[in-house]
Amino acid sequence: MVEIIVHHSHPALTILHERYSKKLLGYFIKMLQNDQEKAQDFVQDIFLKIIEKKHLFDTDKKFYTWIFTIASNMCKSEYRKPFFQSISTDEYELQSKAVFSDDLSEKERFKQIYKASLAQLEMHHKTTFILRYMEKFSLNEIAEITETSVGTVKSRLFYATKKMAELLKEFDPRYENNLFKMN
Amino acid sequence: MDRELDKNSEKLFDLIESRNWNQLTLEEMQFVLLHMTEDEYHFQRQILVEADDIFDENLEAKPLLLPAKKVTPIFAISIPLYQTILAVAATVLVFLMLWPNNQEIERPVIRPVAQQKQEIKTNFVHDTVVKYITLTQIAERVVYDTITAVVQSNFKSEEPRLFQANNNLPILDLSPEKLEVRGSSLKDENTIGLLPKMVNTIY
Repeated sequence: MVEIIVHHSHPALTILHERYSKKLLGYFIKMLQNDQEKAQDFVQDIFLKIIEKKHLFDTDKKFYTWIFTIASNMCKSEYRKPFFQSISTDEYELQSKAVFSDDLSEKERFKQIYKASLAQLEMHHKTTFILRYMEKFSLNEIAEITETSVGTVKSRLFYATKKMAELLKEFDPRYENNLFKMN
Repeated sequence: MDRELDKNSEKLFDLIESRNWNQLTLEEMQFVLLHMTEDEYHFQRQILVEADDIFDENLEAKPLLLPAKKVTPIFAISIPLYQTILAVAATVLVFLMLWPNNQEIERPVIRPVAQQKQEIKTNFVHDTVVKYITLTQIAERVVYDTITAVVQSNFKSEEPRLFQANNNLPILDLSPEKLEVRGSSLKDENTIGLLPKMVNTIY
């Protein structure tokens, strides 16, 4: 992998693309409010950034972590843009009502509200939550990606979960009993 | 309360993420109950588990499109402002240094306000003394020469020849009549008389 980065060539990049593009696409979709087109563009961009910033790659670290650090920073930059569409509380309530009025299965409704709730989280909470529970990174890896301590990561995860619980509490506990795996 | 929650957030996270409510010790349950109800604990834990299935992960990324190498045209290259300013300043400086200054400098006309009588006293200060000193030098030059060869000349007195002619030799008459040939024999030769007598005696 190190050789691929240091002596980058188009075939080597294609290998990297095959290996990581799907994971990155999933991450970008989650981070960018389910905007698939933008997520696709971000996947293209991140591989161009790898070519540009290959000298910044620390060979002692994991490539997988490094590429997600870049991805995370790209999302952070996108969030800072004034025209970035983050879901306001009102929009969230409208979406929730729309989901309930639609003829969707209970599970599908829950998914929609879950996504909307995730979009409501603050950037740093959302990043940490997605990396941990959807991308399955370890706490140390998340600390490396987000350039924070493990303690901060734990704290952020706790508050992100708490916020998600508040946003999803409208769900009738009866549905939860039917829906959730753990009951 | 919030400060207390901040302080304990890491510990609460560890419990929620790793254990079900019924797996907690009594002490841990009491700790959790200080911050949330049992239902809230249970619900938060469910949210974490459900996170896995929320997004559809079947999407594939588009093929990688790498741009061709761009050749930046020279007019499209951007340079910092300070470099531009420095370049302009340097050009102006060089221009001013090289360009001949043809403009006559207007000198201010000095008009005396009042005439002053000036008396110039000349004081000679001999700051330079020139002295000629004649030096006589006797130059001797010794030339050492080495004689490498001695030429000896030996003069010898001329030795007398064996047949030394005397001044008393008769002058022969070599008139054409005398030289006329009368026969083919040597005896008929008129010049026979010229030969020495010793030879004549042989014949």
